[in-house]
Amino acid sequence: MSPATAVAAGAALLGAVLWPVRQNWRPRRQRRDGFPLSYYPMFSAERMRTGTVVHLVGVDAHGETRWLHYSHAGTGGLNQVRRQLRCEVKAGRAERVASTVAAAVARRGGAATRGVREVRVVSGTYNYAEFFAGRVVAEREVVHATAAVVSRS
Amino acid sequence: MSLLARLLPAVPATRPAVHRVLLGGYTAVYLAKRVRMLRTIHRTSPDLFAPVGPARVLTRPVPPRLADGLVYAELVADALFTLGVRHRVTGPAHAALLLWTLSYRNSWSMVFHSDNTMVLHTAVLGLTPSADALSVDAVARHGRDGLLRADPDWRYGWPGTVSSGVTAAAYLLAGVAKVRGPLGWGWASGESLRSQIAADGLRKELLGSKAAPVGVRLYGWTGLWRLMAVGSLAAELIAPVVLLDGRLARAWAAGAFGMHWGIRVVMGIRFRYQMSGVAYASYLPLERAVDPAGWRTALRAVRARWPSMARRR
Repeated sequence: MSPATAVAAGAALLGAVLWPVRQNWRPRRQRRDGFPLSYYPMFSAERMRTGTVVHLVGVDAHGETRWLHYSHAGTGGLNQVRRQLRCEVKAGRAERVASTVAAAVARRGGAATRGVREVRVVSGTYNYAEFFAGRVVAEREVVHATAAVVSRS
Repeated sequence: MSLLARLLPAVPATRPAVHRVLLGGYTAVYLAKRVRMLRTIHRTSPDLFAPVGPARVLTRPVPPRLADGLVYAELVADALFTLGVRHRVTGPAHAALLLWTLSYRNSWSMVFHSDNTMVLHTAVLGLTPSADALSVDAVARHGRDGLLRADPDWRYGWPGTVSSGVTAAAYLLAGVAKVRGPLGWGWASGESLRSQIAADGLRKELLGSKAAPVGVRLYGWTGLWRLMAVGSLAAELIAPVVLLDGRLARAWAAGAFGMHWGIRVVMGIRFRYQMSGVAYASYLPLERAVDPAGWRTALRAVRARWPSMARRR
C-alpha cells in the first residue's frame, strides 16, 4: 500500500464515522441512531421538570408496595431492560411482562421479593427535585398490567 | 514537519503491536465476562429485535445457537488477534466478528455508545500491520529478534493516526449533537446535565438499582454543573484540533480519561472502554513500554533522583 492510498483509506473511514452528523439537521422524530456509526445523542435531550419511567412494583399481602429489580424482566443491563419495558408497554404487551416478572419472582425468591403476592407494570411520573429531596410520591401512576405471584411451595 | 509526515509518522513496529495486545486483551475480557448475558439476550423475544449496524440485513433474529456460535468464534479470533497468529486472516476476522457480535447485542432496543470506538479501533488494527512485533507471526518470521522488532516505518504510524482520528471524531459528534439538540448552546448552562443526572438517578431507583450518591448530593450545586457542562462540551468540540500537537493531544486524552471517571463517580454510568484507558492508547508512544533501553534509562533516572532508594537495594 502506498502512503497516498493509506491517507485516502484513513480519510474514507473518518468520513464514514462523521457521516451520521447529518442526523442533527433532521427533524427530531426522524433522527436515527446506528452502530458503530452513531451521532452520539446521549445526554443531548432536553429534560422536563418531571420524568416518567415504566417500572415494576411488587405488592405484598398487606398492600405494601416496593420497587422490583429490573433483572426480573430481562437481561442486558438496566438501560436495555428499561427500553424494552417501554417498548413492550407501548406495543400493548404489558400483560406478558407482568407474567414474566411474576414467574421470575416466584422462581428466584430472595429477601428483596419476600412476601410479594402481586406484580404490577406501571408508568410512574415523578418530580425530580421532590424525588431527590426524599419526597418519593408519584405525581401520576398508571398501572398497565398486574399478575399474581404463584408460589411453587 | 510536512503534513504527510504528521499523518504517517515513522514509528517502530512495537507501537501498533502494544496497542493490538492492549485492545485485543481488553476486548477478550470484556466479551468473556458477558458470554452468559449474550446467550440470554439471543433468546430475548423477537418482538424486541430492532437491528442496528450490519445486523440490519436481518428482518428477524438468527437462531440463538448460531448467534452463540458466532460469539465463541469471535472469542477465538480475538485470542489469535491478540497473540498475533496469522494476522492477515485473524485481524480482519476478529474485526468483522466483533462488529457483528456487538451490533447484534445492540439490536435489542439499546445502543451502547461506549462500544463504538472499540469496534472501530479494532477494525483499524485488524486491517493494518499491527502484528509485525510482539506476535507469533513476528517470531515465526524473524526468530526471537522479531518479538521486539522496531524497524520504524510510516505503515506503523498510520494505525495510530487513524485511531486517534476516530476517537476525536466520536467526541466531536457528541459535542455537535448537544449544541444541535433542543437547548443549543444553552446546553452549557449545566441545567441539562443536572437534569440528566436526575433522570438517570430516578430510573435507577425505580428499577431497583441505586442512584449515584455523589450525583444526588451535588444535585443542588448549579454552579458546579455549569462548570462540568462547559468543560465536557469544550473537551468534545476541541477533540480534533488538539491532534495537531502531540503534547496537547496527550493532555486532552488524560482529560477525557478523567472525565469518564468523573461521569462514573457523579452519574454512576460506566463508559468501560474509555475508563480502561485503552480507548486513548493511540495517543501514547506505546513502544516505550516494551523498550528495554527505555526501561534502563528510566531506572537510572529514578536512581539519580532518589539515591537513597538505590543504596537501600
